[in-house]
Amino acid sequence: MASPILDVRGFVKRYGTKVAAHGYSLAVEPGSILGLVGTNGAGKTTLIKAMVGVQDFDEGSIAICGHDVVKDPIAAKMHLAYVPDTPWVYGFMTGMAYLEFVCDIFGVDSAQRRGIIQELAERLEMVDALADRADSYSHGMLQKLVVMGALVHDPDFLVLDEPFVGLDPVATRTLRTMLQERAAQGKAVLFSSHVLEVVERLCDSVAIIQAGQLRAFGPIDQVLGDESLEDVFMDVVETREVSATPAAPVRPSDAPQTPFS
Amino acid sequence: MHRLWLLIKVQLRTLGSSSSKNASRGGIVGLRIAQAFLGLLMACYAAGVGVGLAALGADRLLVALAVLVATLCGAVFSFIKAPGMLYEAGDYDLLMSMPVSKRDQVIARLASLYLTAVELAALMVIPMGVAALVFMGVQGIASTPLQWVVLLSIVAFGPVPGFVVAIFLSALITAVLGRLRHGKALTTLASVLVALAAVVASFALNAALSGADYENATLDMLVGILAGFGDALAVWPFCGWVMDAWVGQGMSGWAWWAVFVLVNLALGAVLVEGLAHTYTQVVSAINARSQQKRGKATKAAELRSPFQALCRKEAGLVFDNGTVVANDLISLLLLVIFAALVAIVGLDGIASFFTKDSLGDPSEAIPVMVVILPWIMAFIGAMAPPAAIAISLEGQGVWLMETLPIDRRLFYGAKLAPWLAAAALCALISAVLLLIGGVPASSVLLCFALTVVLYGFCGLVGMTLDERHPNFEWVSATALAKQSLPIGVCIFLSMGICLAMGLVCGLGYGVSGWDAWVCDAMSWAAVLVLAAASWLLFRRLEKRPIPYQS
Repeated sequence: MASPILDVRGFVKRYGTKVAAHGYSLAVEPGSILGLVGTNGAGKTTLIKAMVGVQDFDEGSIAICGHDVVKDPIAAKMHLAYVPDTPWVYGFMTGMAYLEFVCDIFGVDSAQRRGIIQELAERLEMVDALADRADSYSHGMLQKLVVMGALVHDPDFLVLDEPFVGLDPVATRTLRTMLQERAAQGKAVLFSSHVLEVVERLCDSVAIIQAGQLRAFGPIDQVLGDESLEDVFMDVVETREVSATPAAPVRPSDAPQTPFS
Repeated sequence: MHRLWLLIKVQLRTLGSSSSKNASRGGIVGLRIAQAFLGLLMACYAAGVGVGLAALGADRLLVALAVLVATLCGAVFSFIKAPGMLYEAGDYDLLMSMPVSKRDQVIARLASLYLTAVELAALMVIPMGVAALVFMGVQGIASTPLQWVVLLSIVAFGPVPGFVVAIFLSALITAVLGRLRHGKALTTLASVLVALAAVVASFALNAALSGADYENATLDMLVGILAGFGDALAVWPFCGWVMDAWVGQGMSGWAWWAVFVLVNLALGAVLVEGLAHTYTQVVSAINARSQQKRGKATKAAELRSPFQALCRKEAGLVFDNGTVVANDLISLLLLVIFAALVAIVGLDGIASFFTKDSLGDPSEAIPVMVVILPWIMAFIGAMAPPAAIAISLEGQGVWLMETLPIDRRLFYGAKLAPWLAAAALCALISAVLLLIGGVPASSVLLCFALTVVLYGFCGLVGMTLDERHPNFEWVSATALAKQSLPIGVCIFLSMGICLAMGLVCGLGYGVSGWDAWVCDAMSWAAVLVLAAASWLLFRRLEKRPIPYQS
């Protein structure tokens, strides 16, 4: 079996005395899509930001394609692309200039990049907008541009934080299709979302985080059983008194667990 | 009325607040102290002018000057701030969606701008006028109640004409530039040119006034000259009315005062009513962007190295912010201008300018000037390198730097490299101009080396400080460009080094009788020390992780 593209072990993050992540583990295999769900302030973004290098963490390890994000961050980031929840790019850059900037950083061949950009722009209906400055874009257009920037260098691991917020229905469907295509090509995708129906429909595996603890993790059919994700989620959230040490998991959640073990 | 007052308070706070949520208390206190000190200096200068003019019997000219100053306060400040407060205000959507009339919104926005202009006018006009009136009183010339009322009216109403013109012009310019692809760059260029024009004009005025043989002028002649200035200013109606009110007797004086006040009130009312009726249309027209910025979307780009891409990005970050350019790159332009002056008038011309009021022979000053010239050039050029705020300037885009595969050396190197290159280019151009001006080649070489090395050193010191406490949450780059700790440290550091070394070399050569080569050797030693210190600073920086956004 191929080694996981994302391997999180014993992840702990503290903000002063507050523990935002209590030392949990999870993994994402090649060719799969992991949905990360949780209540507001549960720690989803904390995990995501630690994975992609925006934030440090206190204990544990995170590896992307076998590269530790702390010890070998550049190598890890070469395999990674991140789409934040609030997309922001340099306002003075046109959309095209931003994509070229990303391509230059990743060393995407000049001959190849033109075709890739054209294809992505057509799929996301951004062809005409690429010549405009980013500071003239709407939220949805910025989101699309950042998605394009994430895909233009064909990363092995795509991380998206609330990617469907602000996208019109057409773009939402296009993005969903793109994520499925990436998984079909053997890449890995992780995204967080509050839209549980999308997670349920799109993902191979799901992780439910609440109050800094991983309350459920595994293949989606195993985690849900006969219930909907919403029912499971509410069940997890309403469980009384989350203690400082991880309680017995509501759903199978051993560490590290992959969707196909 | 209560709603209107709430709106005015909010707008005044918006105008006066720090744009950084993370500004330290100490930083804010320090800034306020510096502002208070500057205000005190301005007030003292104005009072001195008032007493001087009063002593020469030119109080009529004084009030005309006061009107001019107030008009300029109304014009300049409002012109700069109007786009952000009126036409591109961040709270426009919020206030328009609230149960607040457009008229009240317009009044609140205009009032906040106008009150600040009044505050600036008061800072100059009141000390000037009060000092003059008190001096005249001491001389036995009693002031009249009308004169005190006129003085206060100049403060309260004087900014109106400049204010009205500024509001109108800024709308026009904002609308036009918003439609241009490179509107922001043009705004930056225009701001720099206006600032340069002001600097050149002040030098020209100084030169013109220096040309007048005031030392031999009799007092009567001087009074006559000043009266002439007053008559010239009276052509501007607002100056004329105030001057007539100032010297008017009884009812005629009050009548001219009333004309001044009523015309200004009428102008203000026209502005308020006009803008209130057209506000949404004006804002929509300004914010409508042209759809004709097409054409380069499919142009293939050559592959640039990550370093080149980062350097281009750094340049874009700075040039997209006019305030950063005007504050932090202007020093390089001034460097070239100074060198151009040397090329045009030669060292003897510069020496004559600085020694005209002394008893010395200008030609004796030239060797001293050659010895301290490298430190003068370095001081002008190295004041506020953009590298000092380059990390914070990432703003909300820092997530890109944190998630892209960019190593630390590349990240920090790209923050400094473009500006070092710009400094080297400007120093090179200046060096050529200095050679044309007759400065010895060895001194020119030292000027070049010292300027570039000091620029790099100050930039790295600033960057080191910025890395420790970056501010990514700025809304306007103005706070970074003008008020940040790294920039402040850079300015004082370069000033301190250049002043200290310039004094040592100048006094050593001029007073202690050192040979010129001794001073040059000390300056070259300083170059080496600064270069070594810069290298160490960079080596230390490149070990630091790219700062995280909290």
